Amino acid sequence: MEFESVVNKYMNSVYRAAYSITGNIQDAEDITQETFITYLNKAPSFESEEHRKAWLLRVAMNKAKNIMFSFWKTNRTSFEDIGEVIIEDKEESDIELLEAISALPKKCRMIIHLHYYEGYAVNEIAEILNVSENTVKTQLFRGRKILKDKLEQEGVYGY
Amino acid sequence: MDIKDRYVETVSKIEASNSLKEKIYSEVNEMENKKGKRKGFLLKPILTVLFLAVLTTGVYATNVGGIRTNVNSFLYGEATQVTVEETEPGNFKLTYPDGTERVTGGMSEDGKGGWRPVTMEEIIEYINNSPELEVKEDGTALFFYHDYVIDITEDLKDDNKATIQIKDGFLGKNFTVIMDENGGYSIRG
Repeated sequence: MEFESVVNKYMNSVYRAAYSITGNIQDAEDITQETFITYLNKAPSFESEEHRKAWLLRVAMNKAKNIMFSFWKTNRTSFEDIGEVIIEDKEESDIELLEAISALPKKCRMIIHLHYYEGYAVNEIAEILNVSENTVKTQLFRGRKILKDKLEQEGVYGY
Repeated sequence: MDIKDRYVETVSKIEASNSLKEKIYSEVNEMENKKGKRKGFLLKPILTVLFLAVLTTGVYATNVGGIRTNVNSFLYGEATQVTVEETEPGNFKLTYPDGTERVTGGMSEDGKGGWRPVTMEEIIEYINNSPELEVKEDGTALFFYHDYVIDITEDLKDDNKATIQIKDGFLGKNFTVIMDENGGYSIRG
């Protein structure tokens, strides 16, 4: 697949993953840009589009990890730029959800995103992030609870 | 609506800025301009299937640190040394004595249906057994393999395709270079 087609097809997926994890627009853009440059320089042959997408997300996650675990970012857990991020037809509930995501520990955010948004199973997430399936299960359980508690605090009902 | 549905609904609405795509292409163009005279200079990404991680005989390596190694290699047909540095799993920086730097890397099948980062040994094997093509500004196309340098400009003129036979080892090697109309190329062999 031509590079331009890959960018068109996967840029938003990569960006959404990067923003959901970092909560920072500039970081998310940098990660997205670097991910596609890495793709251009180093991508292997892919067996399927699912494989290509998983590879891109893995690269993006690794780059997000490098940013999120850097020294000066360690104490910054809340999402910056929530008011500035481009969300089509933004509603109050969207802000509440992003604020709830920002309450998640960093490792949780990656796993929650891959599971909820990208629909990956536990074993697939373990492979993408190069962690054990037990870690994925633990973080998924923990992440769900934190999101639920946070959203209930915000007074959002419905589940 | 459950948490998952809420998550998907909100995150699906997040959009990258219009300028992000332009930034990506701008960086790509900058990279291509820096390559300039040496079109096709960058090592192609590794395409590996059941890759054998064997260090070929005749390649002498000295360790200069935990993640860097000096090896004998070839650059544009000339024997040289290259420092291979693993910058992160599966990603390597190659530095030649003249200051030329390249990046390469990739993934390899792990034999269990998944993928793993390629190792330094695999990268060394790859760079020492991969042909290269240099297309100069005047259109001259030079094919390099080990210390072989072959001008294939004329061969490419008719149908943008050149077949090269090299007597390297008792079996010899055959390569096919195919150029496209945009100046990109593939080498098979």
